[in-house]
Amino acid sequence: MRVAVISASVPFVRGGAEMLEEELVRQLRARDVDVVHIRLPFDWSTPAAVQRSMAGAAAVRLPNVDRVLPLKFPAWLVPHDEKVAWVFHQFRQMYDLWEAGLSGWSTDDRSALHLRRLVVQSDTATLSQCIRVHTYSPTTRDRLRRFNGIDSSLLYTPMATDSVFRSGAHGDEIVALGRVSGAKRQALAVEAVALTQTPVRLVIAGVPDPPEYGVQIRRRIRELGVGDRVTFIDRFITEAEKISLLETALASVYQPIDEDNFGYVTAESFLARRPVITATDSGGVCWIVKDGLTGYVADPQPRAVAAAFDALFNDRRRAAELGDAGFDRLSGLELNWDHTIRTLLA
Amino acid sequence: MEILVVNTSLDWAARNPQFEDRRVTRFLTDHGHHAHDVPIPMVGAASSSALALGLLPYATYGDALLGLGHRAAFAIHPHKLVIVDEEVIDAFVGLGAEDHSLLSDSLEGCTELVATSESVAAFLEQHTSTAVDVIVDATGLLARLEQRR
Repeated sequence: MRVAVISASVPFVRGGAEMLEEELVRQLRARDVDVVHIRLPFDWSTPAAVQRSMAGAAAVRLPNVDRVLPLKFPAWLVPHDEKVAWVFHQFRQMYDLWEAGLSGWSTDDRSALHLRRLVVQSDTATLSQCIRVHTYSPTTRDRLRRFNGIDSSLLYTPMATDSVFRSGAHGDEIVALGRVSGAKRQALAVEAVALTQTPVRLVIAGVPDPPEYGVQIRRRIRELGVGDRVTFIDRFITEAEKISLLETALASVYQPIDEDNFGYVTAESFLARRPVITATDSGGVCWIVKDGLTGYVADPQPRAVAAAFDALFNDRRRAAELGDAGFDRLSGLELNWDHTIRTLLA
Repeated sequence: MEILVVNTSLDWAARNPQFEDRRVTRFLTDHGHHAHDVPIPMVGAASSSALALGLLPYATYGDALLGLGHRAAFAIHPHKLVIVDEEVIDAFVGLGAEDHSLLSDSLEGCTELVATSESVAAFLEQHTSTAVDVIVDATGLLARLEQRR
């Protein structure tokens, strides 16, 4: 079987979804599947640019491919009779973010309104043509059902790495891993450190995107006078560095704004048996991080986050119990590539 | 320099392992550039890929587009270096006048057009009005990209 994995991305931006699609391709190849990886550039700077990206996707022809696996909008617009969609990302600016007034476009903008109709209709039409539609989180599944009337089955994301995580004693540091951006809200953790009652420490490690956000983080560390307790490693860290940081961390803090999935940061923390502190508005993360069971779900306010930091610092045994429970929760999901690939190729 | 690496040919890597897109991307990255591979490997007539490549928004991104395979000539970008291999010979065979113009005009429209061998360069010179140099490894590509900075 010749398979095309089709994704779409903004060039030069790399996040969890890109890691996952690359791992999917690698796992297919490891099972001797003849696979091609197509990555469509996506431009959403204006409604016209989005339409152009959509038209480009719709014009792609793959006559010699037996199965097409589209992952992100507008990849499922590529026409093919044997499509199985695994929906990571719809164009949320036209869905829930539009309703919340967070699309970045005025709801009075006629071209944006037209685009919204076009995107919803195109998604509904092309996803309905798929043999099957899978979604990677309950949040995505519910959105697809609500806005497009399409039922999908959940297919969780296995790890994008085969790294073996280690679990050591719970130390003094809370780690904030992953891309450093406003959407991931590492600044909230910095603000929290300034309000803690304990000498808990914070390590932020990841590439600032955009770089200005990294500058902002550094400035707040200085302004709050927490430079002796906050370390900012503003670069890509290696797998070995990540494993080492998690091994001795007290916990992990991951508080993205309304994320679809639980995130690799969460999964990797649980694999290292670290509890995760997230926020009540972090979306799919709250599906796996349960308050008082596998970590803490705090209001997205510095004082509430600080209280969670202090609670874990003051009770390492509790931190270990929560981390163990996170590990068990993750194990129960049976995230493995054999199952994923069997499902996608069935 | 931000460089989009766009492989447009399904069997490109099998024919040109030294120019395999991920390998080239890594090479450019190792030499201080911000390279990103955006593969769209296709087969069949060049004309059937022209529309998609012309519509997709490559021009929005990067200081340069490095196209692997003749179909990349259809992508729109202000600085487009396209490297072409022997697949282009099959692409031209049997083309009607209109499709021939479409392909040759697109190849001529590249900022730079290079070939993987002397024979391909000689062939291209028969079908375009462009002088075509031969580049045999990623170092040559890098030098050519940087020459235009």
